[in-house]
Amino acid sequence: MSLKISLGGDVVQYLGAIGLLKAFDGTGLNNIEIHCSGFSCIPALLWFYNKNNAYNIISKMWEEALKTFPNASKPSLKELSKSLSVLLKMQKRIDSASSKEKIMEFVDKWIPETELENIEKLKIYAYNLTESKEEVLHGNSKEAIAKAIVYPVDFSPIDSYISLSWVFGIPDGDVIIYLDWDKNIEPQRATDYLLISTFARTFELVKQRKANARLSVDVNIRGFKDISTISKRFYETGIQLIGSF
Amino acid sequence: MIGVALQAGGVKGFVHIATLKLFDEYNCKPDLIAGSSFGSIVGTLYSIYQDANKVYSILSENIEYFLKNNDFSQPKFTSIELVVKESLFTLDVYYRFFKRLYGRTKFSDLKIPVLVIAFDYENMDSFIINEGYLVDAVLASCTVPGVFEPTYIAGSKMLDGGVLSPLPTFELKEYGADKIMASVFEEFKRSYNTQMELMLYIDSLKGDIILEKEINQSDFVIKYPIKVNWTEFQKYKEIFDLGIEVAMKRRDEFEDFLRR
Repeated sequence: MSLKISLGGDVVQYLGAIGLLKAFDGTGLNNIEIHCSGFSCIPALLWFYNKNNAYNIISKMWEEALKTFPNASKPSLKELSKSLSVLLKMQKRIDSASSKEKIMEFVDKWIPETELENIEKLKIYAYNLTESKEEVLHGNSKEAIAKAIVYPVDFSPIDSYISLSWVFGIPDGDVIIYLDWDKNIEPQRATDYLLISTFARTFELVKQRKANARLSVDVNIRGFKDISTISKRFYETGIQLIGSF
Repeated sequence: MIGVALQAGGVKGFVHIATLKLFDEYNCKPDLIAGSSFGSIVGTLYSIYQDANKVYSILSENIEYFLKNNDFSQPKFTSIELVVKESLFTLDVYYRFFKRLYGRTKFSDLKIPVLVIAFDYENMDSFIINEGYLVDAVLASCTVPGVFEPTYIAGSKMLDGGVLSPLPTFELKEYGADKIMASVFEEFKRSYNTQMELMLYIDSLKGDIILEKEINQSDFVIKYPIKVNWTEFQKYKEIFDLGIEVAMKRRDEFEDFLRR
């Protein structure tokens, strides 16, 4: 029976999860399934599609990902608070068509086209707002990634899907890999309290999923700014995990 | 030991009075009550007066007084004030409401034990309050994030108990309740037109997931179909009337629950 490795994905830094997959591969650990959400779906798909050039694509994609998803590149409540204030001031309206166009531009450039049914060991999750439930996506890889990485501060839902990471934090799994957020914030505005309470709920749901898992690991990447050091951190986490299996 | 959990939900919490009226009708009382936010107001008042009609009369009188003296209209909750002020209502305004309700009553004066749930944001966890002055505890439990100014309990800043424990059934179990009745609201699909409303919608989805787990701990649930926003306090009477109608239809099931 396969071991389910579950990856979060609420920030762009999860692109570094490519390091984790390399660590698993290097030790011949093959009986695993990757259950991913949000940005971790990108390295996971690239890895299963062609592991030889996956890291190259990720490292080339990195700068563009930071620009395309500016608010999703800061795993810090303090930074997110600023984004939320801007959102409230602007009263930005939902615009799914323009969100889809912008995300598809990114996806078309970097994501290979394949059918997800061809990749047995990869499960891509997103949250369906119409059905109010989490779903494993099927079919075209580009469309699936576009739905899985919708980050609601920057983008409107695509076909009613948003990143699962923004609701449950992470899919269920035997082993949970979660990026540690900087939760330090000195609330000054009403929106700060709204942010604290909504993230407390996410952290609670993550906690519940961790409690159901056999093992969970928090990856600390505070202060790591480039993809090579972030990937290395994930790689080290992978090696440590293998040691504990 | 029978425990009753009362859900957080602002004015919708007027239906909890109907839930507790069922106990009056059968001339019995719960052994323990737990409430978050408005649920804690109804729970503590019922523990003081042990009479649902009296709770309704005192609470409605105080709500009228609060509405007369404060702007609690819907536009206020999406206003730009959210990004410039720490809260929409200062502690002074808010505190007076609770002081009128509780005076200097303490938990030790209560006839039925009550667990008041707040959210300790420094530790990112729920916090059970069952000692000290009710005014401080219930005020902490009702501090809706961004709307009311937070206070301190036990050295920590507290927010609304509904953040992580909208229906405190786990807390009832922790304190020995083995038969749990839950008073909850039916959740209706909300809409969103702006990115900010989308964020709030996603937040409510997370709240629903947490709530579902809490409901699963209950042995008897009364779910009230109320389609109002938590801030619509001017509708308290129609909410209460609907609550009575729904609760009285469940009398037979309630009797079974008591006998179980």
